[in-house]
Amino acid sequence: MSFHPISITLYIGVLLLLSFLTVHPVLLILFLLDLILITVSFNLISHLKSFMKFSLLMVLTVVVLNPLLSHSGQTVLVFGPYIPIIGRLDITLEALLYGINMGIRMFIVLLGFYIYGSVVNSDKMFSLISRFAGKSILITAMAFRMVPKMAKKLKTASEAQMARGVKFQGRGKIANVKNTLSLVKIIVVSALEDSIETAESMYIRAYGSGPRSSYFYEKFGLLDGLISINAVFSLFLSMFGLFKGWNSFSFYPELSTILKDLDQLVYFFLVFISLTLPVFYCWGYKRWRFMKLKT
Amino acid sequence: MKWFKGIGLLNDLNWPVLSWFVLIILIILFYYNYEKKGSDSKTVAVAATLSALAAVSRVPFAALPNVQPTTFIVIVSGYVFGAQLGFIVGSTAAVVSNMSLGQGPWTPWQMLAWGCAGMSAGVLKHFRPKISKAGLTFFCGLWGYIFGLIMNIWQWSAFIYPLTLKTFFATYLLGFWFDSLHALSNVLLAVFMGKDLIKILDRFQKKLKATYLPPEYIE
Repeated sequence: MSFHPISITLYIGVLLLLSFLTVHPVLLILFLLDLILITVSFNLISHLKSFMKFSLLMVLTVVVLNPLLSHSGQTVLVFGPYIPIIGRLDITLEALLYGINMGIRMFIVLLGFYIYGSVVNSDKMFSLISRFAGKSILITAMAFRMVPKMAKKLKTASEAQMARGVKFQGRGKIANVKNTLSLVKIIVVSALEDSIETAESMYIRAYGSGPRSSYFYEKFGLLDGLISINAVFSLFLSMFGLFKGWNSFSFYPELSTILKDLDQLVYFFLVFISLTLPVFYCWGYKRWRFMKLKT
Repeated sequence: MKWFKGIGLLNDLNWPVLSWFVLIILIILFYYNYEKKGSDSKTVAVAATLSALAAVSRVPFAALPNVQPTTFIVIVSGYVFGAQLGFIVGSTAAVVSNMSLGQGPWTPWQMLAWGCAGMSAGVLKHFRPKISKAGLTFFCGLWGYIFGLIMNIWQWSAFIYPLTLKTFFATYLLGFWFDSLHALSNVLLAVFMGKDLIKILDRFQKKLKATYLPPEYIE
């Protein structure tokens, strides 16, 4: 299954924007649920291990930092010591819950970017942007290609140096560092020399002689259209919720009530449905041949 | 004015959205400014090479938090090749190195932070065309801390409640040791190879400007 980069960007962008526009715990949990559904339906769980290790650390930082920094809650759990300038370091229930809430928001942001990175094909993204920013994308693509080339060059250079009798290990720490740094200079010089060659071959192939041609043939299919419509609809729905005050939730000085009225419950349900439907579209796309014909 | 409060314009809530908005606009403006100029195959090739160097140098140090020669290479390239190329090298290095280390919400902020490092070095050259070793070392060390300052903004604005200077510095202090490591590695690199690298790049820049004259022009 392949997507047009715009539809995925729109969907993830709207989801992250909405998670920044509200602190309501119910909405944040619903957003997280959506992202988890996407992760499961795209089989991304098996790759999640290294991501989890890193992101949990960031989430934990936010959870711990909030109660330590904010003391405006009313329900004091632990009376902390008095520190000059900063004041009393009381830990309050409200700040703790706020920290957990922000931890969820942090996880939403990290998971959103992770899903975006694994679903969107970077080549497609490049060729889409290259229409507007040809030079910058060309530089990025060239730099990306040079990375393995440089690693190879480093190996060759260190072997050549070793053949000449330079030792990178076992001459005392300062001598080791100096020898390694000389290697870096070699890499810099030879990479720059190569770049002149690259520039000349670009010149020969008439780079910069006229306006740049761009060929991006990715189709914006039915699935992409449905996903984009859902994203835009969720955005408008959430704006409506903002005006109605359904998105707001206050932690300080006291927690406000989770549910104000029945309308809010309906609103939560609608937001959740409109953000979850794209997952079902993708599921249907795999099963239902009619949708494939339309793309 | 109930809706005004509801939308959170005066509230703390919209600061993360605002900071992301400003960030994206800044990056787009810088790139637009670069794209507007005519393309020259030599500068494109050099920018790509320097970005690749800066990006590659980050990968072997991935296990050590914040210790990497990327900032140093970006600063030196910005110093030699000017502010605009410095920004491009810095931001491209962020994108390319994160392709192997993992993209995330930090990528655009790194693009801005490294880009600004390269750009400020280009500006520095206007005031100090022949910088001393001590000056370069100080500049590189300073950027270790400014980099942390820029990277802190998104975490602080989106996830910490009272958005005051006090909490900002508290979050900043939490990462102070990592920033110090960053600054220290920058200082060491500037001491050991700052002048050498500038010399290499300077010589190369002269070589780029050199063109062949057809024989009939030579008398």
